[in-house]
Amino acid sequence: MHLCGEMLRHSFAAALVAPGNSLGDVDAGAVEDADAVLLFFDVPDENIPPFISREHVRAVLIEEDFERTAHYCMSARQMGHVDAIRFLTQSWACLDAFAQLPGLPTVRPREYADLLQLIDRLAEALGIAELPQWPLTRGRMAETYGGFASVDEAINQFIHMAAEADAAAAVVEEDVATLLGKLAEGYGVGARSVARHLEWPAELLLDGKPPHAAVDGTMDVTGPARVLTFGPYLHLPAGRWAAQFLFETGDNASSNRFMFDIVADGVVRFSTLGNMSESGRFAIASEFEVRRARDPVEFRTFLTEGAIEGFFRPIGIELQRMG
Amino acid sequence: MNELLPIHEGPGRLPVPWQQPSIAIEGVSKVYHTDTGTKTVLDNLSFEIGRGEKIAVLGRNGAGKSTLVKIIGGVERPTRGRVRRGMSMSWPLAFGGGFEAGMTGLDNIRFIARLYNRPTQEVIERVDDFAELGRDLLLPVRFYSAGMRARLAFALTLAIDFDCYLIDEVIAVGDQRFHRKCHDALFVERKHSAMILVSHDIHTIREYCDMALVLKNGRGRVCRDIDLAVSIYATL
Repeated sequence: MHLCGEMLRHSFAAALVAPGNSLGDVDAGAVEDADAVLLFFDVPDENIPPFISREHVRAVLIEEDFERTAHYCMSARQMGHVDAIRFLTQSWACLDAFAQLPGLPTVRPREYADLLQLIDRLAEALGIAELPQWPLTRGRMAETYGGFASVDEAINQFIHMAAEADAAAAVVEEDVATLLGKLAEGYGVGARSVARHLEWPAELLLDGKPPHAAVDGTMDVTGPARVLTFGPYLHLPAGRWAAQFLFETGDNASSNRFMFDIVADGVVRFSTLGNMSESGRFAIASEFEVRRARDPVEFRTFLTEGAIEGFFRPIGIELQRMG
Repeated sequence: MNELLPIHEGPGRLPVPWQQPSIAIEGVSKVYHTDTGTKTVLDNLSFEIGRGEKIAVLGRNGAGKSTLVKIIGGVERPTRGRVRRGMSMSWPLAFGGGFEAGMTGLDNIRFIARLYNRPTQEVIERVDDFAELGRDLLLPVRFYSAGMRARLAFALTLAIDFDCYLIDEVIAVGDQRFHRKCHDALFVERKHSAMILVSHDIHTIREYCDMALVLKNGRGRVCRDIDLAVSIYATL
């Protein structure tokens, strides 16, 4: 992003570099006054990809490793690991629609051995290399950035807290690293889009009992009717999904009733009622639709009547993109 | 000759462990055989109450509360398990089913007093004072209204002075003044008595009970936390 902005500024007298996660974010007056506009987005809404396609806007998808980005969010934005995961899944889910645009170039900066190679690739992708002033711009870019031995060195120089994030990643707690690794299998596949099969670990669900900590293994269901679990507030690309909510029950000799539902786009997309079997492992199969990747998805379980005994243990959520 | 000592204080005799009097329900199950198959009304219930303790029994209709009361009161036998009665225990309060309908109220009182080995005249006076039935005590019980029968039963239960009272729903009978009288007789004058109280009256349970047994589909759980028990019961 930094390099793209600099190239534009060297190429045009009045270059506008602005965030544009939704079309409404863009100041129409500023765009009119500008010679060239570079919009950047990390969580584009559902209107951005069709706009880019319809208007033949030059665009490039810049990819970074999921786990590395998570560590960056945790260090630079001082997020907890769960908040970082939520934010990143939102970004990945939103960019998934963007990545589906035909012919969209993708750049993974750290794969370039030389910074000038990366600059050339970005200029080509954004059409800057086709401008008559490109040789002059490239010369200025080379003066500024030619001295860096590697892309990593330049990233550490120009991106605030990048080096600190890498250092923090090396000492992160093992369970956090494991969780990030699990999610990276679905979100950070390096194939420009979210995988067709995802697994959301149960530890990302929240306990319905205040203070609503992360679910930690087995839950005693004894108590009044209530929310057992909610969350995880992760994001999925728009489309139709099949889900399996996996859980274990035990000691439910007095037959507890529960409800399960899925919330996407802020509305309940799936709901079912059932009896908790006395013991065993079970899965609730469901299908639902996500229309807005920017909105979080929630899987909720409710105890619908008071319980005098029994336990409930969420195992995880398996998701499969349909179609 | 050595002085005679009470047996538990004799030389060389080990001290006898003092056992707290209690009512213990041990693994009680009740299964009925019906035309449509077997129905387990109570499933392996266990709990114990000691002297002066008060336990509420909570549950939806059909949860097995009345069956439990009948088993504790000895009206029915459990299919499995047993009830250990280490204290004297009343029949279910206001339970009028034990009266001999052809006998007068007075004769029924005499019969019960003899059965429980209580001074007859004292029991008569206490029942007469509480039930306020006056000369109606001289009538056969079959001529009593349901209210009169309930008042007689209530008064008779209180007149025997049990260690533990078994109360199934009926905490008060009669008009508002008599309600207050029943309430005071139970919870004020007998505040040191143990009680097994089946009731939907959450206010009374919160005020007087030390613990609660919540019944659900024949299973039971004893909660020392009354608020937890009430919250479960409220959403059963």
